Amino acid sequence: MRPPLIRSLVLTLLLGSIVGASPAFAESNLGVEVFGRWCAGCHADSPLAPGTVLLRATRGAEFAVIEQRTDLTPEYVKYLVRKGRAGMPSFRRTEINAEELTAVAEYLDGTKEQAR
Amino acid sequence: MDSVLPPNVDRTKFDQAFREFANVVGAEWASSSKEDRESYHDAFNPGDPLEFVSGGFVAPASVDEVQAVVRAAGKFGVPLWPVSTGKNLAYGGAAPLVPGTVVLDLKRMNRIIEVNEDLAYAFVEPGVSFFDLYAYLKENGINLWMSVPGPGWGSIVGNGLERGIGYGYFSDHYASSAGLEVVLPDGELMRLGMGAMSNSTSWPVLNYGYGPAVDAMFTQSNYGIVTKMSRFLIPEPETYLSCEVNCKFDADLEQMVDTLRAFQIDETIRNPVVITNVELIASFLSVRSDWYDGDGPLTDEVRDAMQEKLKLGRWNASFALYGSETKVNDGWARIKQAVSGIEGIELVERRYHPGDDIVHPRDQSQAGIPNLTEFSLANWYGSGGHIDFSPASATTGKHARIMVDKVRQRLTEYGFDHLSGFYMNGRAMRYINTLVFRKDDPTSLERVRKVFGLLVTDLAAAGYGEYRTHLAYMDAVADSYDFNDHAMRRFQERLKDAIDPKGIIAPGKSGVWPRGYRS
Repeated sequence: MRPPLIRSLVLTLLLGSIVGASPAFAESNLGVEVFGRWCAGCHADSPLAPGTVLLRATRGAEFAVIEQRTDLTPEYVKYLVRKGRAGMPSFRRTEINAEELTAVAEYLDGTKEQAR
Repeated sequence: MDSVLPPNVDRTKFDQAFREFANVVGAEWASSSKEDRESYHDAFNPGDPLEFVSGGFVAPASVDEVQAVVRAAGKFGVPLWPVSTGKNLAYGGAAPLVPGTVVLDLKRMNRIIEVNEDLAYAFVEPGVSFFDLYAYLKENGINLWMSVPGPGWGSIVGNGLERGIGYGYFSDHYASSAGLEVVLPDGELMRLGMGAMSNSTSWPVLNYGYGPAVDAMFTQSNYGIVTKMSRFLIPEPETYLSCEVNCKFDADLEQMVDTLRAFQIDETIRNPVVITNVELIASFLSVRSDWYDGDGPLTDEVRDAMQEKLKLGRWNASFALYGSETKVNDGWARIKQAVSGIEGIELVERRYHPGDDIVHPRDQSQAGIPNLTEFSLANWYGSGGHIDFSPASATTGKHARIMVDKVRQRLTEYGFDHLSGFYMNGRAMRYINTLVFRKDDPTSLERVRKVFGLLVTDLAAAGYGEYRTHLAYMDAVADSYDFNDHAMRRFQERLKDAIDPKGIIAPGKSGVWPRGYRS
């Protein structure tokens, strides 16, 4: 049971201080752009992002926000994008092409240093 | 396995078809490799995720390419399963019904052809998602709102063709569309409505042309491939009021439905009144283990705890009022007066004007801002499986209660939680029940497969037909539309045989099989 999380969600809803619920698009860096377009809707640092909610519940707060993770390799990110896992569906080449996939995997690899 | 072949197609013909597909779209965009064909599956299938696996994919980038691919498929007898963006999750995703069918992936056709600010419509290709159009509107400073469904990553065209519903003003997405362009099973190009006139000035705004209307034939259908479609939008209103009527007791449901229906009938409320149970809202915000560790269905004590912590009712109605400040205030005052007699009621309102940030996810959806918050429900058990059971009825409290009782009884019998909501659109409503199951538990898969079939027959026996369904139940639902020995399906089959005698387009879609498959 995690009533503190639920209370914080309710508080967030009531106060209207939700962030990151919609992807941002206008970035020049391809990896950032792909993350904003395809990943942020579920993986933003937000109590309303489904992937973040699940990871926080099942793996703990330190694994919840993937831009703050230090354990994700580019190869693993690529694998997850193509294969999916749990509630995350797979993404096909017509959605995220090979260049975009490499870019977003490298972007998440780059955020490791900031997270450390 | 080297390949998955569709029925009655040998390896030689299949390979020849793919060579022609590659000649049309380029080798990068036509493939029957294991990795590519398995990427067109249903990640949330109630069973083996590769049960409905494709034989490969071909992804054209233009109408000319679609025509050429369809002609090549016809030449070799290879069936095609068109998808717009393949996000029809809970109903089969990008997977074809018949294994080995080649998915015609239209995601690369992603042009926003036109947004007309004066007439308030967008004209798009199938690969354009709700997120894409929203980004376009924002980037270009266009103050028009669309209607979006729960998760916003799906196709505007695809959702309309599945007769999907959204949260905005034009929530019946097919009914607020026009401008259809269709590639027929023989590769011929046809435009519908006023577009049947080659120099039409009103194609994207009027779907009535002249003579028998055939546009709706291409919804939930396998008669052709839609390559263009418009969608109506509304100007950003002077005032937007997001309203909630939350009722504490389960027994309030009938009165809620009957009271709020009147305000849709008189058009005070123009978007759907969505009446959601507390456990469904909890699934948008949290996972099951936050509330309950038991194996069986949620208990009343858990639901009480959810209501207490989330400040919600057992049933929670949300809807919007759009327009001038005066109009919105008048409508809300009349609604508040009408619901005041319902016991244990709580009212919530959030008011917005142009320029305000809209941050609550439901308020975003009602204002045409796509998000993915509702997709959290797939994670309820942590493993992602879900399938929607969606019967329709007339909008009365009596029907609502009958459906709730029947669905709840079956789900309880089979050990599932009951996550559900009514989507009221005036005189009719859809009752969306999300059956969330454990993908990694064979007994959970077996139970969900059984209970879904029972729900189809139980509700059909009482006069409630599904408006849309998962691949695995397309035949069962078609069976339930049984007037006069299935006269409608027999007519649909006659059309199929006339339009698509080789059975090239989406065999089995919505229970309509080509002659060769029926025998």
